[in-house]
Amino acid sequence: MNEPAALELRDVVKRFGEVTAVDHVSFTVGASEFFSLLGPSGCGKTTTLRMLAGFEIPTEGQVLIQGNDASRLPPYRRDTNLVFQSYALFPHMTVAQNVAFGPERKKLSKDEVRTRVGEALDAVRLQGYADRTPRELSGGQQQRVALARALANRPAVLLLDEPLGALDLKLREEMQFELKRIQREVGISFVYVTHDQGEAITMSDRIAVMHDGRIEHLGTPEEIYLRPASVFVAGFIGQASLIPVTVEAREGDAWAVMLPGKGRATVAGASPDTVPGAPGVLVLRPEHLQLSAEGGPNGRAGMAVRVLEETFQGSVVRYLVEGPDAAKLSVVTPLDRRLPEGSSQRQAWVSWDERWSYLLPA
Amino acid sequence: MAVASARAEARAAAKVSGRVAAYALPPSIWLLVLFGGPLALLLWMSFQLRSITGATGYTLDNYATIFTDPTYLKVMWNTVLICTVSMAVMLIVAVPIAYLLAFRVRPRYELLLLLMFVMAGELNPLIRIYAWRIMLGREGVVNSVLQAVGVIDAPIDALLFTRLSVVIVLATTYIPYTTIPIYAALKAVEPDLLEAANDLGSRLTTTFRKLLLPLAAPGIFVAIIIVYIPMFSEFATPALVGGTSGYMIGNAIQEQVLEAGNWGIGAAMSFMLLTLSVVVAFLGYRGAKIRRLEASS
Repeated sequence: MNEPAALELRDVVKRFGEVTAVDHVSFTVGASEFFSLLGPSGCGKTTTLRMLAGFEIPTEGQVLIQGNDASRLPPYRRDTNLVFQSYALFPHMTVAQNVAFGPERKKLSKDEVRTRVGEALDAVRLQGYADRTPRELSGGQQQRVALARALANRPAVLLLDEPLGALDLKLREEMQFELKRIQREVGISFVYVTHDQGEAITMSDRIAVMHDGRIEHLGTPEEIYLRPASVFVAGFIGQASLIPVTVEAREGDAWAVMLPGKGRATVAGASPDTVPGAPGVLVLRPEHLQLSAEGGPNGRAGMAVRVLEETFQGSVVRYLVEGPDAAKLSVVTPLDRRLPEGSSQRQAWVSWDERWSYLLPA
Repeated sequence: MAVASARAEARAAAKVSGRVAAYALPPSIWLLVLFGGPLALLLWMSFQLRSITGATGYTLDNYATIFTDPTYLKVMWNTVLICTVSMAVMLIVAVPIAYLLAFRVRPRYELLLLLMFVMAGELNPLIRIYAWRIMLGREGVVNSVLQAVGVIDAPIDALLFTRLSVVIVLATTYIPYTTIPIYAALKAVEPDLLEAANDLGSRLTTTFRKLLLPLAAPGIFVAIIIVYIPMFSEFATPALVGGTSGYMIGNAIQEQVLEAGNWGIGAAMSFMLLTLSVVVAFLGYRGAKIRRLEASS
């Protein structure tokens, strides 16, 4: 572990006039790690990426690339390459000329440039397209050219700015696996900016969830999904049902809480900041909730609810239900456990396995 | 059914084209009479000797004279040199200005600067030329300032009534018309492309050569068409600031026609100028068209 990290941000701040776009952000990206910056628009993820690429200079803090301070290096002197959301392909050059642009700037020999162009086009599976111009290609192919052009430079870190944003859904899903395969094959660290939590969860080794210029949670996709660090993260990642509760007492590793409607439940996992007696939020995932027409306490945590809406979604049915104190929950049920017809507006019982619930301070 | 509707369509098309022809007729006649007529007359005159005092029969003497007489050859060389140097100077200045306007100036100042630039070109030509005489003369602003600062001891005479002064005045006159088409071409370039080039290891100088110049090329060719050609027929500027060394074809034509009464030579030179313009326009058009096809996405 003496090898320096591919990339490190140390307490980086970026202000534009009065506005703080990035507020004391620190993280490290390991060699050949797939790292995502995830957050809603305006959260500072793109500004962070632009500081990594060199298009913005941090107001405070440092950017280290392979252990060397690169905070003030211009983009053309950095060992990073960026895949633009707009692809930014050079329209007057062929695919091969586009891909060769980086290696040619490094003053490599003609043979070496040709080798790199060939390898990069191989990696993105566009071997036969070298002599086309960008406008003769589909959106997905242009996206691959943009990727090949950045890879041909063999950067220490590849930066990707919502590269799949302009593609349609099916192509986007294909490209997620493609990107992951390419990243494994070339072994370069990827820093991937996206607002799409599904994309981030599918591809990333680790995710930094950003909000208002800060990192709210940095962890593996599983940690972020199952043990979110804040209510914002819980709400942003996947569908979450958030139930306001009152924290009562610690019981070993678990916590006892009071649900709306005075029911009681035990919660297996809790944020380290949980305090007894304080208001808390119970985080439940729709697929961990179970809905039954009759019911009552059945040894599992649960509460009485009213069914508001039923939505058929193909393989599953999604219910919107309302508990006491107007707490709304989303429940996803396989078709074979669907409620009997005409259940809308009826009373039902929702229950969950306490191992899949997580407690956060409100 | 299909045949009937096809016939109806053909009739409708004929009706439309008939109407277009009707609209086009008056301006066509106008052009033919007022532009084509004099042009034909000029062509006829270029093959006549002293045609003002009566026809002398067809001859190629006028063309032979302007292509062999050293005086005329020198004037032609002078004209090409002055126009080409002016054009080159303008392109060297216009491309960076267009780049700055298109990419570097804050959007809210962009239009204002562009407008100021155009307004400067709308100044009355005579006033502008006389202003330059005041600037460049022996006692002019440039010489006075240089002397006051101590850069020179005696005034530089070469500033006025030389080819240099014609180049300076022409270049400053036509610079807006050179810059604007280039600016328009660059404005169509995604700013992301410049960042991508920078990101891939290209400094600004390389980006200019590899990216901005090829993408600005359609604008550069348009600028050449609308600036290089009109400069060839300039006569006011060389007459007022050119002196004897900055003498151009326009002045020679004026002198032959108005002072020497030699319409044949004047007409021949006008035709030679027209041919040159058509050639430059064609090359510029070809260049702009090819480049546009390559650069558009």
